[in-house]
Amino acid sequence: MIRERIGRAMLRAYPHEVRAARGEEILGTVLEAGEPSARAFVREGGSIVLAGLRERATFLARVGSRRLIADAFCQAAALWLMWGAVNIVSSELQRPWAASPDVLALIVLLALLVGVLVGYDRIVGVIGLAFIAAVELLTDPQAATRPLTLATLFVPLVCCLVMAFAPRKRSPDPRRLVLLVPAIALVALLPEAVDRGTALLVLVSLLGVLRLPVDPRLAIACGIAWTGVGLSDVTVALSRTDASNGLILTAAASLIMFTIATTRLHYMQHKHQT
Amino acid sequence: MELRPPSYFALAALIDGPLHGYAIVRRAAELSDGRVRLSTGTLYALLDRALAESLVVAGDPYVEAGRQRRDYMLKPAGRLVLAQEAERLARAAKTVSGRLKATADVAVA
Repeated sequence: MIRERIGRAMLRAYPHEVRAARGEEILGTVLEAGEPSARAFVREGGSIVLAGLRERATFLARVGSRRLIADAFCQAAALWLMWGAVNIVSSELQRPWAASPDVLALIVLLALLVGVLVGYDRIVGVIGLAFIAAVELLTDPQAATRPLTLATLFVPLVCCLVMAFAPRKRSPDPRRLVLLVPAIALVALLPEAVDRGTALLVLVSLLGVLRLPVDPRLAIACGIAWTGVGLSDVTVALSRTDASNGLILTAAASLIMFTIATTRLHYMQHKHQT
Repeated sequence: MELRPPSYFALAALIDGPLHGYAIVRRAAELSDGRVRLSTGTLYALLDRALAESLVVAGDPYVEAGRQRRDYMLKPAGRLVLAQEAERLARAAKTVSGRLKATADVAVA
């Protein structure tokens, strides 16, 4: 029974599609081939983890760049929403909670974040577009013509458009809400002096780099999110001269993330074709 | 198409009839005198490739002894690839054996 549980956990190295099609069969073979000894079981289990990770890389290379980049925009939307929510909560913690436009924005951000994590990309994309139009453009009709407003809205707008027109095809699963735990931990554990939003992006970017050998999507998503933060900082940088350091940091971070992610994507697809 | 020893013996395991995953592992070990020990990960990667290239066909899943299984059967294209590889190996072995025999006297001297 314990071996079966361990085997099932190891099976998760394979992409969902492979697990659904022949996961039980692979598990049966691992248990049978690993029956003679613990060493044999470890050898068989290790072999499916390696094969699963290799299968993931091949599977993603087969999927094609367009779908992978669309997926990355959907992941970037989740990251962007998480970053926004963490920033609002951090600033609210420094002053008494009161009825303010930020609280309304936080509620909307959290609702959209829950939606995109659970798997309702298209609905979140449409609501996000409507929210941006209502708050940013309808309240200030001149906003759409201002380059600075458009620069700030560029990343959220593209993310929402991609989610609305090219959502990820995955069945809704509330267990994905566990991804909120690191963000909550960051808000709860980091001292006030630390910029929690940036800390979140740095943490996720590290994870994105670690996942590169099998999946470049998170790294691309981080590049998109860093670009969004950089474009938001343009407004601040133009009004305050001391904000230029943040701008350079985010520009560098987005450039680095994009470079390593696209290099890996290119390598994966080249390897798949040969 | 040149086959590596794991693919060669995994396909060869199916010559006598359809087998499920673990049975292929055992049969490949028998046929290779224990030299080819296919791990589960390698086996399913090989089977995936063989399925994609239409060398084998997979049957419907069934449950035996509480475990889900599926039998794999060699297709005519698979038999042809195996025959070509066996011939290539035999030719290579014959060439080397011939050269060794021809030069045996020289080497002894």
